[in-house]
Amino acid sequence: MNNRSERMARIYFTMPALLMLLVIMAFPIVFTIGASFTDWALSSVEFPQIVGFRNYLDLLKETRFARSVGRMLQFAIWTSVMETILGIGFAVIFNQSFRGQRVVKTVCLLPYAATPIVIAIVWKLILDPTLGVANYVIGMLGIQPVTYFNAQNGMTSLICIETWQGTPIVALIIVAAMSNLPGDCMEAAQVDGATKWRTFWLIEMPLLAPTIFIAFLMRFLDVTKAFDIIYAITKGGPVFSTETLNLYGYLIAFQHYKFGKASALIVMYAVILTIFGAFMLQIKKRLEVDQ
Amino acid sequence: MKRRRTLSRIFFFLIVAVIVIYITIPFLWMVTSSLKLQRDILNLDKLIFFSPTIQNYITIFADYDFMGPMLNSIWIATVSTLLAVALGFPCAYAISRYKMRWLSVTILMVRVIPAISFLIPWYMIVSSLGMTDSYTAVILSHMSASLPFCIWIMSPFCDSIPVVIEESAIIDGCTPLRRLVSIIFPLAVPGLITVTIMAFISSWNNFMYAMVLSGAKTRTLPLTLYNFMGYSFVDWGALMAAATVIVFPVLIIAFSMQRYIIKGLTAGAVKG
Repeated sequence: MNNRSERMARIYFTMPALLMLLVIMAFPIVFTIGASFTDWALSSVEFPQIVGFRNYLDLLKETRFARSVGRMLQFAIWTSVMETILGIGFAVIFNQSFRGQRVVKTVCLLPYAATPIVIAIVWKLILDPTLGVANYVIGMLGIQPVTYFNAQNGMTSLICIETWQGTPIVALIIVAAMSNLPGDCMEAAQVDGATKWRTFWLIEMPLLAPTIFIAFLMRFLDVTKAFDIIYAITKGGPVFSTETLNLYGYLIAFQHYKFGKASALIVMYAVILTIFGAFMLQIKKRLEVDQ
Repeated sequence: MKRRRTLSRIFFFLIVAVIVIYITIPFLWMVTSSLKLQRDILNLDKLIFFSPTIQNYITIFADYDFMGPMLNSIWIATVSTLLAVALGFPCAYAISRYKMRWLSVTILMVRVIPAISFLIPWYMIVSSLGMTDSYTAVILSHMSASLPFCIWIMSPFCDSIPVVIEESAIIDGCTPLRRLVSIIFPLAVPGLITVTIMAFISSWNNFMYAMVLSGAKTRTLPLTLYNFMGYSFVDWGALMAAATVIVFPVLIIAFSMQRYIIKGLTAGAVKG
């Protein structure tokens, strides 16, 4: 494939997509990096001045910034760990052959496909402290009503909602991996007299581990970018108690219109995520080699 | 022995039932509430048994402007998805056939970067060009998510199409473009369906871009629902009717196309 038309094809197949990505993504990234070194704010009438690393230093000194980073990690770690544990459990169930298996798998897609804003509003009404069903039901069990979205419980409630949304996807990924497992390994073990339980822990789990780990990392990355559900339910409040880095960046930019400062935050945020992403890619490569 | 097996069977189906209820309960509550009058929603004795009404659905279409945002959502999701697939598919094919690995790594990195990174420049460019509240801006913003996604899913898919199929066509002097259209395209249809569905769903559900870039004319459904929650929080029935109308199309797609979506979701994590 070395003649001229092949070389041309390389260019005209990729150019339209690359030009589009350049315009809508690469240019904005450069623009944001540039803006992060200025004191640009929409409220100020003066032309933005270059301030060097001041935005970065200001942010690094802020407790609100540090806490939002911490909350992002807390949110992402808890959610992805819970999703993985529940997902494995669900997958073990779904992998048995039973009637209605297809229907159950389809049901798993509902939380993935549903609009996050809808999910947020429905949960907000269900968990309403005075009128919601949740408190009514736990009231029947004799438990005191709970305020789900106050400073103390807000984070936990949001983690549970995000987990509710992500678990079925993790389960589906693990089920897909289970059906790809070489059946002869398990058969051989069973012929040798291993119990189902032992076959699962000693043969299936080690074979599934790479997939489970990749699913965990993928969800971790996704959840660090969670926005819609948090914004629609708590807007980061009350008193910043559910404000993740993503939300804080959005609020600086589009509530206070401090574009310089927001750009600095976004640059740091993107760098953190890129490091996570590179790390993930590395692990994925290593796992694939091992197999 | 037989009795023990039936018991464990019953126990198994109980667990399945609990999982299914856990996943579906918000949807069940949403749909039933949308069919209730306000006083029945708050009257928890009528949680399950109530007399259904479609009054809420009439309200949202008659009293609120719900039709406009709905057409906007359909238009924006359709155009941004088709454009992304049209641009992304040839690019994915080229990455796969000409082994442009650096490109695929770049595409992955673009997917990792948070969506908010592009918002400030877009907002500035759009407002300085006088394009606020224009379909072009919203559609392009949605493409920033769907185009890298399309390339990311389609290039391994093209890898799985054997090169041998193309070789005889090359010998016959078939141009790369002809090969893409008449040989690769028909074979890539299942992958393209996956990408199209998933890109459509993500555009339909998008909230953040719409919030910053759209105005009265181009408002999409998620944003409309969010605003609706602001000023009509007391009318839970209408709110849930609106929510049901918004998720209905994507849930139908999920139900009818589940095979393709599961493939797309597992593409990054499971080999084969």
